[in-house]
Amino acid sequence: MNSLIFPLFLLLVTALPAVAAEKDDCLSCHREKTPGAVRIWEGSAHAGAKVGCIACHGSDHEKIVKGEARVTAAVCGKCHKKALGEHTASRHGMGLHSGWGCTRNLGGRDKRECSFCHEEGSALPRSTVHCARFLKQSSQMGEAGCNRCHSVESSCASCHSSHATDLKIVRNPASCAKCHMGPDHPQWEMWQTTQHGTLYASQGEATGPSCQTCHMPAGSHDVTRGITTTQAGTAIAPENARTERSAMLKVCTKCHAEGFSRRELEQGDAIRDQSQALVKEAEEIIRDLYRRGLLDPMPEERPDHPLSGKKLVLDSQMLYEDTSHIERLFFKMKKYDFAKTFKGAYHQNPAYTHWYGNAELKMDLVDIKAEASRLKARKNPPAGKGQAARSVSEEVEENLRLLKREMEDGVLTPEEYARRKAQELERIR
Amino acid sequence: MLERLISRYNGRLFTGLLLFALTGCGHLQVSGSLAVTAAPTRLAAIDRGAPVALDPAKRLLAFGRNGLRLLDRTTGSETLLSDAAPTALAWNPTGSRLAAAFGHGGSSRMILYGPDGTEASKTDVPGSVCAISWITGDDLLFAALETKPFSFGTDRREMLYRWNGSGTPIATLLGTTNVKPLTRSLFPWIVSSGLQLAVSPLGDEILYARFFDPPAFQPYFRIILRNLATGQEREIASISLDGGRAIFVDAETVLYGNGVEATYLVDPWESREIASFPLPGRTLAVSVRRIALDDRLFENNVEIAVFPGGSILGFAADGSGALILHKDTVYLLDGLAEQPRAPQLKPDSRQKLLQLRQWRSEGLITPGEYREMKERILTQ
Repeated sequence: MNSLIFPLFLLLVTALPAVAAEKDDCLSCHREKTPGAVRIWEGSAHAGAKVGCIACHGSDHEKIVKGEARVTAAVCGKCHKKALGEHTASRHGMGLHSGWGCTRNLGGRDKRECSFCHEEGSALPRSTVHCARFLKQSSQMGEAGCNRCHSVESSCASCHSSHATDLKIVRNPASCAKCHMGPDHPQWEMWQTTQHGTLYASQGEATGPSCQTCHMPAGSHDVTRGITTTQAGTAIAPENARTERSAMLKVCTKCHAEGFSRRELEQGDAIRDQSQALVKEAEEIIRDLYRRGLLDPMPEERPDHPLSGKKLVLDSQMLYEDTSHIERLFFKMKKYDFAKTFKGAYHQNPAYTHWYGNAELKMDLVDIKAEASRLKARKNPPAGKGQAARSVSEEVEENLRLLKREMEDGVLTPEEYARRKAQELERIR
Repeated sequence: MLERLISRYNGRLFTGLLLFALTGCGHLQVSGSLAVTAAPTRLAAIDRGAPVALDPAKRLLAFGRNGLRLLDRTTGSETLLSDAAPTALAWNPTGSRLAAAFGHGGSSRMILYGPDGTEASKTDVPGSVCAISWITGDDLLFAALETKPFSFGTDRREMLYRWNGSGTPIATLLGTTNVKPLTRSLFPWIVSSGLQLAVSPLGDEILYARFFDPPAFQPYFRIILRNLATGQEREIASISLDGGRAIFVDAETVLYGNGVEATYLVDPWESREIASFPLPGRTLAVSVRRIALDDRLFENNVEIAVFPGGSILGFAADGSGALILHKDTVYLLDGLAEQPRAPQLKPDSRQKLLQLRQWRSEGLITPGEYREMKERILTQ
């Protein structure tokens, strides 16, 4: 239980009160400058335990004012070791692992964004996981739109708030909703509108399970426990899946029979895999168009992908900007509708599973197939529709591009690729 | 021939060196066998470091001295074309146009002059023009640097412009780098110069130096080969800020000096080193028969002249003359016997070759496939 009493003396307020117990004089000024922060701290467990301003913020006032004395999770972890360990091992613990690829050479950058990836004074990135979508944003959007959620990795205040220690705050599912809502993963909405959410709203925590009940049982900070799906929506390795499934069943069986619980979760697995197959079908349609040079625009005609340059990217680094229309349809299908379908199933929400998820997913596939047909017809109109005759050179170039992409996609062996290229080049002698 | 020259040169450094003072050359001390048959003539005084350009007929010399001046060698008359100091100069291949770039407030003004010194057209572009190169008689490229200072560094944008003398030049961003404050203080010129440009003999590819200033490492340039039609680029080498350069020797071969201790002749597509020279290669020039490396001139495998340290050499368009810039004077070493250039390709063959080079740049064909196809086309 002690581990739940998490330190809440974190960043955000740049000029914070110091503590009488530490013989500093922060409070004398900050009662006037930031009275709200002082009042919240005075009501916290930290104040009771005589953990004052300097303990978390340090004593370099100038640094604090400049925003250079952030109260990171590492600061909290000095006292809350177990919580920090669990947090770090979980997906929340890699929330800020975005942004590899230095932005300093991009035009119009804000120097403050260096702190997204670097410790003060260090040129070494503190993160090795990349996020192309982050790198495409302005520094303002990166901060307000990306890091405000992804800073959960290094900021306990992301959930706990800055100066309060009341666990009511973090036990309220609304604290999860800040990030776990919206089109890409609406777990909060789908939980609210299930029987679990209804019971929570009408009967309270004792009867209605919340996000924390299932995903942070017994105050654990390992939010990944019990989840058998990767962030990309594929099944994790079977040996790991067995362990995680057991962990989730322990939670479920506090209220439900094991057989029922297992069947429900396995149903979620099946829906995930069925939905994944639809996504793969759509992906293959786009890859085929790419190989034929039919995407509009093709990757080589767009601004560089921040991590992959001129390559077609359909994996988790897929962009929603500077792509072709069909890729934008695919983005919605994979990132929004696929996620709603299988997460809806795991959260036992029929509307999300079916109408917001499955139906949209299948309509996306219809749209993608229609767009693919349009692109093919545009490139090769029926005879007599007035397409200008192409030169041999243009035909050879198009075929060379197709062969190259087939080679890159593993459709052709290197030997077959060389042979087919030689045939094409023979045509322009 | 050049390969043969270089391979022999490696084993016969300074062979055949004769030392003597040239008479009639305005006190330019030159050593080497070349002086037996030719002697440099003083042409004009120039502002130190100012650009010069000799027209293809070797009649008109454009140069910077208290502005831009045009010297007619046949009459000895000198005309002031502009009070402003040029930052770059280049004659077109026919000698009908002189392109000159000038600083113009925070931007640059590019002016095209006729051989009589009249202004034919002009245009303004942002930044500072560092280099000009003609592709054809009426189509030119120029490279410009744009900078924008921030407290944490200076954004340095490398721009390429293509212009045919009318309308607005077409701009292409080649690269952008944030120059660290420390780098700027150590190399202040980096925000106004250092962007070099060379065009391949076929006019379809360029070499330029892209600046990099990585965190925790020394700044440096990368020599980049870019196909103008496809925009595809290939890194050739890294060179220091000490003044390395790169030029095309022919359509398939690049000569670059790393600015420190060595100059390399390479096949850039097969990443193959053909030869190396123990000279930094801070200034380079080639004709069909000769090669100028820093202050030395080579012909048929032999170093034929050594000019005073700090001299900068260039060739007339047909290779029959060499310009020598030394301190604040420009000289011409005329009457050099030169081999004829390879005959021009038939339009159809040229078009096929350019197409193959585009495909090579995009990785649609390998350098080996290109070579094989090229041989077939040239023997048709």
